[in-house]
Amino acid sequence: MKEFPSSPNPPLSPPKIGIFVGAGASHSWLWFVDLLDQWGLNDVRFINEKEILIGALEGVDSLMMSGGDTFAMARSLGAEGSRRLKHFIEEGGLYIGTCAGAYLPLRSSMAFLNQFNWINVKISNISRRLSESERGLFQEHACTPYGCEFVYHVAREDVLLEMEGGHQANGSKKVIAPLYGGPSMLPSEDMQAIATYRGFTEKTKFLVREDLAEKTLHGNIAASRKRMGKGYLYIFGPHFEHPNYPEANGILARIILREGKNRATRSFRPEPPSSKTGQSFFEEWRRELSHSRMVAFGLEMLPIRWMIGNKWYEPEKIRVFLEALWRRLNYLESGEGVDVTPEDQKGMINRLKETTGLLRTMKKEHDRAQSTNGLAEDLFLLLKKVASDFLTIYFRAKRTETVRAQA
Amino acid sequence: MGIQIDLKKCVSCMACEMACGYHRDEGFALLSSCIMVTRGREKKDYSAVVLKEEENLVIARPEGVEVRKLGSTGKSDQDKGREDASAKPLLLREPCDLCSDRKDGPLCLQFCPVNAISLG
Amino acid sequence: MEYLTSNKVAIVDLGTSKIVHEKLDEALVREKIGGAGVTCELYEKYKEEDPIILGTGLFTGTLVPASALSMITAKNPSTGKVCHAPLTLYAGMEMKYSGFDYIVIKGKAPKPMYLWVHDGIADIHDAKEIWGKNVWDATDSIRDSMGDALIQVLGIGKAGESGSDFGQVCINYWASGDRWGFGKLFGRKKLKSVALRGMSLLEIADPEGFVQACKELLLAVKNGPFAGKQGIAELSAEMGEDIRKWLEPIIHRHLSCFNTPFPTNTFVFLDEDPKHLKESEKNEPGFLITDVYGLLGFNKMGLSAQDSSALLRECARAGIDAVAVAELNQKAGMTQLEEIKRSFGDVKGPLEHLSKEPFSPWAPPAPMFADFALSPDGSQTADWWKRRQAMAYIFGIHPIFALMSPELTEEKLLELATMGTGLEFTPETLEQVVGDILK
Repeated sequence: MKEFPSSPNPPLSPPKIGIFVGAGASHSWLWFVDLLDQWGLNDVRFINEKEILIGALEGVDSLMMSGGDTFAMARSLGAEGSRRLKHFIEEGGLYIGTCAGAYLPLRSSMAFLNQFNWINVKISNISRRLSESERGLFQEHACTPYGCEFVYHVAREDVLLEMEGGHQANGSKKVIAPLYGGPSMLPSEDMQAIATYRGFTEKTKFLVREDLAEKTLHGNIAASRKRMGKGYLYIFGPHFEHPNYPEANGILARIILREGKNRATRSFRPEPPSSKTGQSFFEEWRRELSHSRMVAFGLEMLPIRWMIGNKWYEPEKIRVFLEALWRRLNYLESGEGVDVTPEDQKGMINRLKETTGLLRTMKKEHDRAQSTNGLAEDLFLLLKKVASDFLTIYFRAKRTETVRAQA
Repeated sequence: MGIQIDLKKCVSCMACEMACGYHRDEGFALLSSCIMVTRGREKKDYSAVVLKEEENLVIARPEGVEVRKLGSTGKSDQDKGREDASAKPLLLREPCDLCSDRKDGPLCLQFCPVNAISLG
Repeated sequence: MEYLTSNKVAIVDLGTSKIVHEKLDEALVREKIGGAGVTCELYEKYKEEDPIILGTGLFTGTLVPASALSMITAKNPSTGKVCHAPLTLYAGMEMKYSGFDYIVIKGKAPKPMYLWVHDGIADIHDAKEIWGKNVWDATDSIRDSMGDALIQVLGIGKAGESGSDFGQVCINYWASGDRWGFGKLFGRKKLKSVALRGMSLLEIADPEGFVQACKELLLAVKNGPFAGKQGIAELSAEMGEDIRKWLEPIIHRHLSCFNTPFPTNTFVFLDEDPKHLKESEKNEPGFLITDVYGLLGFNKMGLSAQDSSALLRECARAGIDAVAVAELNQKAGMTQLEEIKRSFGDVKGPLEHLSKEPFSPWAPPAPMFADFALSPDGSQTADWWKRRQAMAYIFGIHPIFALMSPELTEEKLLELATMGTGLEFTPETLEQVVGDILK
């Protein structure tokens, strides 16, 4: 697990970017972190639904909504969250949604989701479009209940896409990106297609017969754009932000750079910097992060997993968060410190200690053959907070370095 | 075709784990290996070898092999093996790719000093 | 230093609880290569403070066959000579990944402490909860409190704490190759344990070249004359003491040290059916025999394999060298299990075959299984053994496996050293380092 590579040429004035880390966001928000870091887009903050409700979107130009659970996102944001998001976009904000984040603004009659009916489009991967015999066939496989219907999925991993509207990867209109349950949309006048499903690769994993997969996806829309007031919604079925797909990453990054600065953003945290982190802070951070990751590593060797929501969580997922921080720790340690209030420093260390404590308790309870599901739920909530706190100061340090270098 | 582990031959030396770690990280580390030697029951001399495949977690124990479906969904036991189409890969321990980019095949097999690993 | 290293040395002062981190000087590596070459140099530098030096070999924890070895270098508390004790099993490897290549422990703690080394952090912890505990309980206590069963613990028991000449620094629950009474030195410094855990990454100067060379070396080595043989009893048979049938009924499994092609350790079940495959419901069903001489010592007293292994387990719990317990009890005419068990606190007296060499006699004094083309009259064997051990302790090769593998030539090791680190190492440098170590 090597250190995270730094960006070669950070832009002079990057857009202010918010990454949604609230209810429903899966770990794929960390893929956005990698992408933005790679592209030197380092004016980044992390936002949850509660912060959206108290105006956090005022401080950003763009919002990244990652994959995860669309229902949970919609439920937690509610009508007020929807209103604020809509206002943000109409005032010039850029909304980028992948997978669950792409489903969110699509027209729906379902409770909570119907508060986000911003794009009038139908998806092709819904059961009402199937014959009776096909319904039975699909229902046996991967699907998500959707009222009386269900949203179904025909393939995972690589899908071949054709870019439209001037979007290209290295001069080619063909690009590959991975699909993990994201939507396939029927053409609609309410939006402009920017990518169409064109086929599969040898890495595609079919969840149904290939001809049925082709029928569902081929020629339908994988990514689209819609103007809303002064801003734009970009939605992506496949994960263009996945770290192993640099060409798709490039398309996404260029959209952020081009469309992501249409607002006159105000500072999200107007208070003047109060205190710089010293070496002791990072040493303490390294100590505790080391404690957490070693227990997490040990859990990976145990026959253990947790049902959270309706998904199984493997212990490996814990270290996905911790390694994202570990890989960036050397950078912070070798720098001149970052502006963080003493209270925030203390809070960050305490939460990391709490993470270690939870992990140790889980290990003990497992050894005593006790259930650890409740502890795991608490842990994954805490990990989001711990990771986003740390990455906030990481990007702050990166931003400071860029500004100094440019000065 | 996949990695087969004969735990009766295994001497828990971890060469497979280190070789796999090298394949992933181009350095020596154990953080990304998809094959792991479990060592947490030292006083009982109880050890297994765990292999992460594309869809399964294969746990080779002295008393037999268990195959567990990864990325599955469903609350009931019957549903446990059902595919979760929206499960995102963790990108930490990537599933075994049989070292497909190496002309000599899987490194773990080549570095096992007691021939406990084979392709089958 | 960039490759095959964490590039860090910790200087720990137990007296003041201060810990200084230094970079590993590349010039030092160019001159002394690694392992005992460097630990001797560090010992000299800090010798006024009676230091304990923990060190890794250049290849420790890599894919070089048998790269299991780290070491303790310190002054033998009985003879005053500077010696090296091997750290094998997984402890040698773990140290390499703990974030430090070398750790200098100097001074004396005002109260019992233990050193906790992990991911580039070294912390001194109060040991009041574990001082007085036996080796097994202390290891459990550290692992439980940290929540990690993979922590490797170099620890002492009552023998080391009470100043026995034969106090041994054990590895987790098992005997080590510490024949020097370094446990006494730990005890004198009020150092109960050193706990190690690491999840670092070692970069390689020429990764593909290095790994390819490791692979070729393993291919050459693994089908050697030891192929098909495993465990402590086979070692014993090769040494002319055939205890295979005696031990066989209680053998559960043979285990290797990290990446070592020959499993030099044998786990015996004492309170469980040795054929039991599933995880035992008993917490402590047996013992891992890591020292052939300890086992042979009790065997020669006429004890059963079961009783001998049970005694080895008691020795490891108390952190006392089983070889000394066996030899001195036999000399005193005590051969009954219970009286031997009660004798640990009273074992005193010089051992007959106290080694004059700096390397632990835990590794047998002659080639094992293999033909190293030595003269049949044995006149070259002692010098060959010293040199072979020096190689093992410089490069981090398992000291017993070094006696089984003529394919691990000095030329090959030097070639690997250059590929792995990107630094040029010549036979002359190696000659100089060996000379310095054996001085």
